[in-house]
Order: sequence, then structure tokens, then C-alpha cells
Amino acid sequence: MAKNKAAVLKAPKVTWKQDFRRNWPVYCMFIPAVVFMIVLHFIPMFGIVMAFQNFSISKGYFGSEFVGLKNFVDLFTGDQFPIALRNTICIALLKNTLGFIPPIIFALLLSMIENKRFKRICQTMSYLPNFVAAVVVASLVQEFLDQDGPLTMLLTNVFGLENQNWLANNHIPIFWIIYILMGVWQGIGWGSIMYVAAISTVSGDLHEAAAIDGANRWQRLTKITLPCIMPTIMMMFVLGVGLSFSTGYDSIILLYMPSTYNVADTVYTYTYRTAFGAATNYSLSAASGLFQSVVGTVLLIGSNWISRKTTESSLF
Amino acid sequence: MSVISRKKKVRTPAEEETSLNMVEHKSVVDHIADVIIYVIVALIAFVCVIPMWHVLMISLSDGRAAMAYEGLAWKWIGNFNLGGYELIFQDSSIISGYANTLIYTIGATAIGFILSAVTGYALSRETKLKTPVSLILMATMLFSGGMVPTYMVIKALGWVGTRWALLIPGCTNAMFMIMMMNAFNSVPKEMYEAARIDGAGHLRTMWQVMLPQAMNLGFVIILNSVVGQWNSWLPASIYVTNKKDLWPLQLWIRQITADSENFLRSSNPDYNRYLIEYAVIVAATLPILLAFPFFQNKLEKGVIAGGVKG
Amino acid sequence: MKLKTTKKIVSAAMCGALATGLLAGCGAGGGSSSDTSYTMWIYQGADSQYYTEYSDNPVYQYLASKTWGEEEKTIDINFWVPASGTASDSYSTMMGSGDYPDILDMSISDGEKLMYEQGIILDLTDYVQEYMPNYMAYLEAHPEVAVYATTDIDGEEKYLSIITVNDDYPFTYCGYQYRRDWIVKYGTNPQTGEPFTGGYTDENDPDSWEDDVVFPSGGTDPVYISDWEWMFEIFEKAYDDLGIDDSYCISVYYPGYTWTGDLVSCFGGGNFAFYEDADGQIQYGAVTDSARAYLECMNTWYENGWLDPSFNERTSDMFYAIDDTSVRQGKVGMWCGMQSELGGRMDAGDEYTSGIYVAGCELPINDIYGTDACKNVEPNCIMTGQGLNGTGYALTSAAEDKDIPTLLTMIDYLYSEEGALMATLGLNPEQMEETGTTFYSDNGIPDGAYTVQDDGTYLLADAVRNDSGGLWSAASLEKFPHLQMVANVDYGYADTYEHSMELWVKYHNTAQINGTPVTTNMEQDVSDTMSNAQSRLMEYTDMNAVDFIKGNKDINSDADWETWCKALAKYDYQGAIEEIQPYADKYEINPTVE
Repeated sequence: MAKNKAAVLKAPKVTWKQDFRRNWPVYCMFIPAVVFMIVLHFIPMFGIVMAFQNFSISKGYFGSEFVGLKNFVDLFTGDQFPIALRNTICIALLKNTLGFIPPIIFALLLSMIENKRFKRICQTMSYLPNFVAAVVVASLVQEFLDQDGPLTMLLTNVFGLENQNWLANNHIPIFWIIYILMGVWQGIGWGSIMYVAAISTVSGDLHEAAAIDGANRWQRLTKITLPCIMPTIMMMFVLGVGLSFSTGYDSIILLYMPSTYNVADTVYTYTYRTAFGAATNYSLSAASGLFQSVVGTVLLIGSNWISRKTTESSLF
Repeated sequence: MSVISRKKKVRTPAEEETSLNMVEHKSVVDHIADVIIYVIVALIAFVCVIPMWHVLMISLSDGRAAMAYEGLAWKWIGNFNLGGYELIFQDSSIISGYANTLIYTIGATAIGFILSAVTGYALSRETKLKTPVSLILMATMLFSGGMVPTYMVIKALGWVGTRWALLIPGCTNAMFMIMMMNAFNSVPKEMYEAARIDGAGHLRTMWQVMLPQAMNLGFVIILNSVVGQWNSWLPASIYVTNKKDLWPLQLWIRQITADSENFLRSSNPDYNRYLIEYAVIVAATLPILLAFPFFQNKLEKGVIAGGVKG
Repeated sequence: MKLKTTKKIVSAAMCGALATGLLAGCGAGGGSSSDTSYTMWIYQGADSQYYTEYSDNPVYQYLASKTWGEEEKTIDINFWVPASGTASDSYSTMMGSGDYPDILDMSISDGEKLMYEQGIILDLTDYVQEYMPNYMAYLEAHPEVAVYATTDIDGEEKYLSIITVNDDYPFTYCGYQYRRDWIVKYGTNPQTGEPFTGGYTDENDPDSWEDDVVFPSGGTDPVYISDWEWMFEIFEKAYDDLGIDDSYCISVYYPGYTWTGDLVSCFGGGNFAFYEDADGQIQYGAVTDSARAYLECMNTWYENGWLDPSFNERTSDMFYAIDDTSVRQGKVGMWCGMQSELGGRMDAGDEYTSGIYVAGCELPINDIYGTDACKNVEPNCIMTGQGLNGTGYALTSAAEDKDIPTLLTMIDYLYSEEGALMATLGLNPEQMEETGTTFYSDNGIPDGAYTVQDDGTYLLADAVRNDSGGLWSAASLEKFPHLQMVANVDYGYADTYEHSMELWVKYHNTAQINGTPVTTNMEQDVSDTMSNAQSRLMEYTDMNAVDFIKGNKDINSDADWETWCKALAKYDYQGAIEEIQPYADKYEINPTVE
């Protein structure tokens, strides 16, 4: 997904007119997508004005009163907001570290397995959770971590931890870890596909040469395989960071409870509650959505920039 | 990804094995390491599957026993019982749901793929329009106007209450288009130039020369789209609410699950209705799981190609 | 080669099938444009087990087969029913895009007043007065219901929606209930000290229970908190005897109270939100002495091990019974549960449920905790079974050019005895035959939904009574405005069963303001102020009430209580009260018949 730097550099400097004359068929090919995006995505974006209005559904987008930045002030001054922001940042950080590594490790482990059949079966099994809907995953987590859930039993009987409903534990960082592990469970197989692919391209000659030089498996892993798949890792990382602030918090709504708000509340859930709790407040939820989009954009551009500077590979 | 794209050849998993494990003489340490690796991988695979096994087993259990049961269901609880499935399938609407889902999944994926491919191809050509269009695509990824404005546009198009509302608006997204661009970028330049010199137009070049080369990553997009469409219910609940004959499977499943939630209110509850919650998960997930292995081969190749060249 | 051909054939076939499927659903549906064909949005349809299109409702089909009004027109309604869980999405897209149905279910709405001022719904006053004699007659006879039927627009009482009404307090499907068999087995008469006797007179009848239980307050049903605590002590004996260790006596709502008021209002009245006290003053409940008494009681129960220790952990999505599993296993003495758990219905013949007898009880009256003002006061904020009125239905601007008189004439029929009976219970055999519906015979009710008894009351068919709640609402016309018959209908319940359900509706709501004329007549900005304050206050109480109950904070310490009150005062409930008060002065919640 990276753009080829060299290609950009050698692009000839031409005027729009010349370019159009030369490439008009390509211009035509853009038409469907541009129409698609403008009609179905850009025109509806007028809805964003709601974030600056005291929106009432019956008055509509054009009749509602403009209130400037009031919704943002309301959002940022809410008592729970600082906690929600902290939790969002912590969960995002964990997601990009603790939650990011398992697929890589899994891919590396897979690459070391010789038995083709065994490897294939394991891989297929690991893909399965990706197909399960998020609501179902959340209810499974509830069931498994309940006071008498199978996983709680395991933790109590084998590891001697206190028997409890783990989702009700409001000590840092229990909930965060549960949430991250839930993501890992769902994405470990699917997320590893990219890395398996990247590892497979590492030249056999390099390994052979290293083996002849007496490098052991560990050395070959750290000195050859990892550096070779680094660009892929960076690319996935950039994407992950960019999306980590604004997406993937829906299922917290199914997992948290008032007594765990202090650890489980995120910007998304906080807004969801204030916006749809007692009285539907569309404006506040739009303002929060806009805030998350802006932070997401900044993160995406920032991490892309850092990645380009440090590893010379980037998403765009 | 451009960095690794300098590698010349795409290796399949089979080839890769030879590349990594070619050392003939293994030490004892190596053997122990091997065993540990096998065990860990097997464990991960096992953990991935076990919750789903649990759901499957509960769905085949006796309703009342399953409700009181605590812990992991290794096999069905109480007597083997298909009551949950009977309740789901007694209604012919679920069958029409399967048919509709098939139409939406195949239709939207096909339309979306063509759109992504054409756009991806155009984006992969060096034109001045490339940057502005990329920016438009990026913007749609991050900003959204929300549900009601989108509804108003789709209503203006006259698609509300028709299949078009489910086939077109969600058929593709900026991500898929950018992925297709990368797929086309990875095709060797020489092929493109040769085709152009032979006098092939852009469409023909794209369709006959470039696309087969880019198809590996294309399969990844197709699969992602299929999974997404299969599990989608929200657009249907908004655009075809009043046309029950157009409802996809997932919407029926939500309806049936919600209807059975209050079964305990009845004075002699039908405990099979407790199983519905589990049986619908199986009914909705199983078809796509069964179809998946057929895709897996192509998929792996595709991702490899994407990962390497994209 | 062969494989390729097969592949081609298969793909061609698939394309063909796809195209056919596409064409089938892609055309825009053209509706009939007759002025007696309406669209109607309802919040929820019937259980999909029975039918998926609401127009298949047998009672609706009966109505559609008749002619109405002077011009003898037939009526045709196209129902819009959102999929479960998407009702609010469906509502907002409808309102946001201007795609209104002709008839709108007002159960989730911005309220009649606002929607009328926005021009979304129509003023029906003239039509109602002219074409709905039955409805008007009923409202005249019942002023306590009539206040809910009109909305104040600039000093004028207007009929903006047509409401479903009940002719008596209807039964509710849930309430507090307890293991009465344990009281008999482990308890002793508080006056004489004699053990109780009792049991089933008929093994196969879950309602045939008889006993001689007397509570400390003197009656045969628990009335006071002290009666409850007396029961808890007996339950503890039961737990010891049966060897249930992780036991507790009562499961309460999560997160420790209901903001609507059940149980909370037993301690001097009120709830954890805004309510109107006996003097007509609006109060914010969570800072009152009654809230403190409630929390003190919960704290005591918690310390004594009577309260479900994980009451604030969501283990189930059902809001009314947080520990369904233990209840169904027979390990809990008292809980807020459903009618399906009454009597011996939970007897599964296993360890703890054999011989179970569950009886319902009324909300208790506090006689132990808090100040004297908190004692011996009847509960006044009740969520379930609180009122005589139900959902309202309005006509939107989309219906302006339709034939409104004919529609209202038909709806008015549902307020006549015959029509109300049909809407409440379903069709009788003659009506079934006229309509030609097979719904009843298909679902095991070949003799119609009810029979007329000698004393003139109507007896609900056995199959409906015994089947899940879904069949009843599928067989009747629940989703239409109608008169819900309660007074003259015999549901065929056994005496003990009916007694339990009567206890659940013993007290009526006189204080809760939500959904009453006090809130429905509010100006937009007032109701915004109230709901904004309420949601912030609720968030605080949701998170912190548990500390008092679990003893992390001391409910008896004035300092801790003050911290709580001060924190809540920050959200300016006082300001909200001042804005609500004028409405409370002007409108009554539950005027009694003179």
C-alpha cells in the first residue's frame, strides 16, 4: 500500500490540460468512483453540521439552532470525560503494543513448522474467530468470565486467583487486558496472514548462508527474518495506530457496567451514554464523532510520517 | 511495502518451508524447540476454536439443562436435541433470508470489486488526478455524515425499499480501492507497456493483462467483502425495514433472537427457545465457515502476493 | 475440460439466479393510492413465531373485511415494523428524512406537544369529538385517564393522539415473589411459636397451595420491611438445612436501585430521579431522607449477607432478575421475578426446587430504617402496572389528505364493548368464520379466543393463557389504540395465582412524573434541562450508590452523606426542579374520580 517514491519523483511536470489530453481514458475511469464517493459519502457529510447545532430531529439540519462550539465544550467538560479519555488512550496504547504483537509471533511460529498438514489445520482453526460477529464475541466473553464461567474457573483452580466476575473487577488494568485479549483472540489468525506472507518471501539463500556460518535458529530469526518483514510490520502498525482511537470500541457497551466505568469508559462509550441515555442528544454524539475523526486523522498522518522517516515505508 | 517488493519471486507456503528448515542436522535443542513450537501453535489454534465448539454443543443441548449448566460444554448437555434449530427453521422466512443474503453478498461483492478494480487501475496510472482522488478516498475513510443524511441521499436516489440500497452503497470502500491500486502497482511495468504497444485500450489492458496479475490481492478484497456482506444487517434494517421479503439472514436472526428473549415470561416456558440464541449463531456462521476452506488456498496466495508486492 | 464446462454451467446458473433475484426486488414498490389506505409505524410487531407481517393479524383482518363510516369504505393499512432492536434508528431516519407514516406509534417520540408545534402531527380534536363517540364517552367517565388524552397548546386542550386505555388497573407480569414453601417448612408462627403447616392439595396443580402462614404484622401476606427481614431469617435456616453455601436472600435490581422507584419509594416515597411529593412539590429523590433510609436498609442487608453480593455486576441482560440462574435452581429466597415463576411452576424435581411454592407479594412498607417520616408511608413511584393509559397513536401530516373520519370511526369501534373485547382478547368463532382466518385453529384455539360465562364475564381461552405471552398478543390487536378490557375479563387464573398478581399492583403511581401530563406538556427547553440533569445525576448515582450499600462509605456518617449530596447538587437539580415545578402545579399526575 506504499506509494513508490521513485515513481513520484520522475513524474513529468505537465499541466492539467496536457495530462487530460494524454490520459483521458484514465480520467473517465475515475468517474464511477468519484460519483460513488461524492453521492454516497460527501453529500451526506452535510450531517456534520449537527455537531455545531442544538439539533432537533423535527427541526432538521437546516432548521436547528446553531450553537457554535457548545457541544464540544459540553463534551470536554463532562466529569467523566478525562477518565474516558485516559482509558481510550491506554486501551489504544495497549492495542498497539500488547495487542499488536501476537499475530506476528504466531506467524513466526507457524513459519517454523515443517509438517504442512498440521500447519494448515492450525491456521484454518485460527481464522475462525474472525468470522464471528462482534456481539457474539462479547456475549462469549461475558459467559466465559462470569463468576462461574469456564475461564474464571480455570484461573481460580489452576492459577489460584480469587474467584470473581472478572468483568466486574474495576482495578487497573484488568478490564483493559480482557478487552485487548478479546481482540487478540478474534484477530490472531487473520492478522497473521500478512506476516506469514511476508516471511515466506524472505530469501532461502540468506538463511542457507547464515546456517552455514553457524547461525542458530534464534539468530536467524532476529537477524534475517525480522528485519525482512519490518516494512510489513510498520505498515500494519501505521494502520493500527490510525484507527485505534476511533474504531473498535462498540463492544465495550456490552461489557461494562457503572461500577467499572472508571476503567472501561471510553470516549465512544461516554458519548454513547450521554447522547442516547436519558434523552437522545444527536448533536453531542456528532461532536464526539467529529472529535474522534480529527484525532484519528492526526494519528494516521503522524504515524505515517514517523514510519516514513524511520523505516522508509509508509501507507501513503 | 515497496521495500520488499524488490524481491523477485513470490514463494508459496510450500516453498517457504524448504527455505526455512533446510538445515539437515538438527541438534537436541532444535528438537526440543520444535516440540515447544508445535505445542504452542496447537494451543493457540485450540483456544481459537473452543468457544465456538461450546456454542455448537450448547445449541444441541437440552434447553433447561443448558440454562442451568455452568462451565465449558465439551459435549451436549443432557439429551441431544435439535429443538433450537427446529424453532429457527420452522419459519420459511429464514430460507428467504438465506437467499437474500446470497444475492446481497454475491451482488455487492461483484459490483464492489469491479468498481474497486477500475478505480484501483486508474489510481495506479500516473495522472494528475491521482492525488486529489486519493485525498477524497482518505476523507471518506475518516469522516461520515451519519445515518440520517445518508438515508436522505439514498431516498433521493429512489433506492429505499429496493435491493439497490443494499447492493450499491456498501459495496466497496476507500480501503478496497487503495488496496487494488497497490495490486496494480505491483504488476511489472513491462507487461503494461507491452500491452499498450500492442494497441490495447486501457480497459482491455486492465481486464486482460493487468487484472489476472493483480488477482491475488483481489481475492483478499473479495473475501473481506464477502465476510462483511454476510454479517451485515444494519443497512438492511434501515433501508428495507418494511419489505420483509428483502430481509437478509442476519436481520431475521436478530428478530428471532429478540423474540425469544422473553420466553421465560410464559407460564410454561419452552426451554428450546433458550437454545435459539446459540443455534442462530451456528446457523449464521456455519455456511461461511464451510465455504472458507475453498477460499483459503487462493486467499493465502493472494495475501502473499499483496504482502510482497503491494 | 469437463471441469471447466461444469464450472461454466454453474456460474451461468448462478448469474441467472442472481439476476432473477435482483429483478424481483429492485423495482420501486408502488402502493395503492386510495384515500382509505394508510401506512402505520409500530414500535414492535408480534412474535415472528406466529406471523411476520402485522397485516396477518387476525383481528386486523376482521377489521379490514368490514366497511366503515357513512360512505361504507373498507380500510387498508400497510404496517411499517422495524426489526427488533432497530426501532430508534428507524424512528430517527423517518423523522429526519420526512418519510412519515400516516399513523405513528408514539412510544418513542419527541412528545405530542413538540411534534405538533413542528407540524409533524395533526390536531385531531374536531375529528375525535365528531367521529369517536365511544372514546369520548370513556374519557368523560374517567377523568383520571382523560388528563393523558389531551395536550395543552397555548391554553387549549387538544387531542393530538389517541391513547390505549384500561378500564381497571391491569395485571403486570412481574413483581417481588418469595419461597413460601420455605416459610412453611422452616418458619414458626410469630405469635404462638407453633410450626406452620401447609402444602399442595393437588400434586399436579401448581396453584393448589394452602397453608396457615401468619406474618409478624398479623396478616397472611408480608406487608412491612420487618416482615421481609423475618422471612430472610427463615431463609437462612433453609440455607443451613439444605447446605446451600453461596446463598443470599434477595436479588435486587442492578446497580442497587431502580431510578424509577420500585422498592426505593417504600422508604418514604419518591425515587432516585425527579418526582412530585404529597404536597405537590417536585423533589430530586437521591438526596432525600428516604433515599438515605433505602441505602441504609440495603447496606444492612448486604452486611447481613441477605443481599446478592454481586448485585451490581451484570451477569445477565435481563434487567429485572440479575441472577436468573440461581433463582431457577431454587437457591434464592426472594427476588423480583415473573408471573411464570409463581406457584409450583419452577419445580424441576431437582435438589432445591422440589416442592417449591412461590408466592407474590406487594412492595413492603418501611417500619425500621431512617427517620419517622420515612416510615409507614405507602410506596408511590411504581414503574410496572402503574397506569390506566397506554401507548398513544398520532396521525402525521402525511395523512392530511387521507380519509381521517373513516379511519377514526374504525378505531372508535375498538372502544366499544364488542371491539374492545376483540382487540383485548381476539376473535370469537363467528368473527373467525366471517374473516375466514385460520390463525386460531392453527394455533390450538379452534373455539375462539374467549367464551362468555354465565355471569357475563369473558373467559380467556385455555391455550392462550397457558401458552407463552407471545400468542396472546399475536391473537389480539395489541398494537392499535383500543380499550383494554380488564374489569369484565376472567383470565382463568387460579385464585392463589391471581392473588399474587393482584398484590403486585396494590400500590399505584402517584409521584413519578415521567410520561405523565407534567412532562408531556413541557416546553422543549424545560424537558431538555430535565433530561440533561437527569442523565448526569443518574450517572453519578449509578456509580456511587454501590459504595454505600457495600459499606465502602458509611451511610450513617453525615460527612459521607453530605459528600454525596454535594456532588449531586453540582449537577444543579435545584435549577431543574424550579423549571419543572410550574408544570407540577398545573397538571395532575393521577386525579382521582370524584
